[in-house]
Amino acid sequence: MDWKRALKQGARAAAAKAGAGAVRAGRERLDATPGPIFGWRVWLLPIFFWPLMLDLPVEIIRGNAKHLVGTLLGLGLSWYAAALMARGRRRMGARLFGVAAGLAAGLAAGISPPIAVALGFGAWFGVRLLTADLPEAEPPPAPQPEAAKPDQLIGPRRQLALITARAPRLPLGLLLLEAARAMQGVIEDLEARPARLHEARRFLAVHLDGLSRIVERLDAGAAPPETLPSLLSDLTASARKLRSELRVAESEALDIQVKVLAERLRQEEA
Amino acid sequence: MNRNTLSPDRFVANIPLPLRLLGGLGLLGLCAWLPAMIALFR
Repeated sequence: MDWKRALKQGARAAAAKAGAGAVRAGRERLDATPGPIFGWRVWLLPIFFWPLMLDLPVEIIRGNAKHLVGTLLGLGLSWYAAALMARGRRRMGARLFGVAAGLAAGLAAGISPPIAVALGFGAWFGVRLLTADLPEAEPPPAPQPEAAKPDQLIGPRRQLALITARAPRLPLGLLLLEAARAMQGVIEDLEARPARLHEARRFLAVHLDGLSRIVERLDAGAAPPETLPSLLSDLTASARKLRSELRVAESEALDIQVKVLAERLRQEEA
Repeated sequence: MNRNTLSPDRFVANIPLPLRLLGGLGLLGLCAWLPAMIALFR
């Protein structure tokens, strides 16, 4: 099974190097392979309902709505369950197959509801037994929260552009430019990782806004106080520190991801 | 107690593969095929 080998290779590379490049390579390899399609054990499942296929025209002719609905639900849900399992959603497929069996027993076969429910559970457990060693694929990821809230970074970017444009002709222009460049780095990091935006809210609200006001005052002709150079250095250092903190947080997230992947691989191999 | 020891996954994983396949096919025969046959010949 090529996809399985690819999964293992990708995970091994990621665990060994523990670097972003390795994880990306593994993910690309996974993306390149087609989704898991299991053999007879998955596609056999709807075959268990073959009598319902013969029953379908009989029920249509008889015109018994309850039995017809049971037959259709049994056939449709069991087919959908197999399709889910073929995509790697093993657990969900097993549950759905149990529901299909219960509905078919209760509605189409007219078996009493408690026994039909028990049969549904039996079918669910049967599918679990049959497909226990097949790997489970990740459920489709929830839609990502709006990646970059455009309006959240437009303001800071505009402020930075104004600072950079005005700074060269102001006193302490070099220090101002250095602080602006450090803050520009933070903004670029936030553009790349909008999920961390909340961690930098204070920075955006206080530091960048403060620098912008300083530039406005200086531009209006104010004389720089003696403490301004040290304040600008502090702002630069603070922006750099925030940037490194963001990077550390990303590294920790990657570290956790690598550990989880390695652990899953280990469990699959066990 | 470790949660994994109680999980259905762990329970199923401890059953040997041939027994698992036989059990799965048997259960499906009983719980899916038999009701379908009952529906057909009722």
